[in-house]
Amino acid sequence: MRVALTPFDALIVVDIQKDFCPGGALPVSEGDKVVEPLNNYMDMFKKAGLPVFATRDWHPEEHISFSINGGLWPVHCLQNSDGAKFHDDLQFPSEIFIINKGDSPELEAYSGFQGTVLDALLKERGVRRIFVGGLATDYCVKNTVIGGLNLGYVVFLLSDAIRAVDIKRGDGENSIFEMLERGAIGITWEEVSYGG
Amino acid sequence: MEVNYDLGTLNCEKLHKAAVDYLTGIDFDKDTSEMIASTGVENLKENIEGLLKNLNSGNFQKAADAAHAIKGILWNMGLQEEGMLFKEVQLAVLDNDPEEKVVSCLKKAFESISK
Ligand SMILES: [Zn+2]
Repeated sequence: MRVALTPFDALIVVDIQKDFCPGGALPVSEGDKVVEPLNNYMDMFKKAGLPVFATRDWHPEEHISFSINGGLWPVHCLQNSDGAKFHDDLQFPSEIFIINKGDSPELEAYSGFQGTVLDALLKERGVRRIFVGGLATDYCVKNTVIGGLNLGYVVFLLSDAIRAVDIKRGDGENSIFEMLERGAIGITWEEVSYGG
Repeated sequence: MEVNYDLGTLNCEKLHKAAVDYLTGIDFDKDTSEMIASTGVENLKENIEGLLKNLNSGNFQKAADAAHAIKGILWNMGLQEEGMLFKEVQLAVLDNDPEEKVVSCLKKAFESISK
């Protein structure tokens, strides 16, 4: 399949933060392997003059997703901490929209759309198709993709720029299946082009 | 202190359903919602046991921590009011309130999540 970028497209880079990469507080195995493909995608979108959005987990200390506070996860991506920083090798274009999620103590968010201004910013720019990659396939990528579909966007899943947590073996594969079943379109770098 | 609670009276089905409804309503996908709800109910049982054990053995800091966790579990499940009742338990324990005050807070809190 070949997909040519249009003026109605945007790239969404999900949670490429140190805590989700090897050595972090909640590491995704090979999470850092998505950095290079995402840099390529960001470069292409930049050259095409299209907007790039980067979501990040941005939790206060008392966040309910932390196990000490009754949640499911160890403390991760604390606001302004080193672990919450984006991966060092990620090369953002000069204009990048950062979307904080999970930034109020009592609300958890896996999708970049939950409790954020992402949808409003996309609509404001006339975006109709979003290209989503990042971490983790089975949580925040999946929920962002499905959230986008529910909001009426055409959603492309960047199959070569995602990695799963796989707490249960097969979670990642099942998530991909679910996203495709819901209408997302899986693509890889070779299939995307712009400008002719 | 001598407090107890029969976990058999915990309204697991209702809590689970409330959580799934809440989570899908705020745009979590179905599988994720089911996972959070099921884990929530399991963690709830574990922390209730911890709360009682620590209250009964006079380990009040740990009891307050358990009440704090229960509040968070319930909030993760969208059960704000029920969570607040356990926050009251946490505060009563931390404030060294008289035993009858703690017991009455606890009774109210347990009632909110029971059959
Ligand atoms: Zn998080």
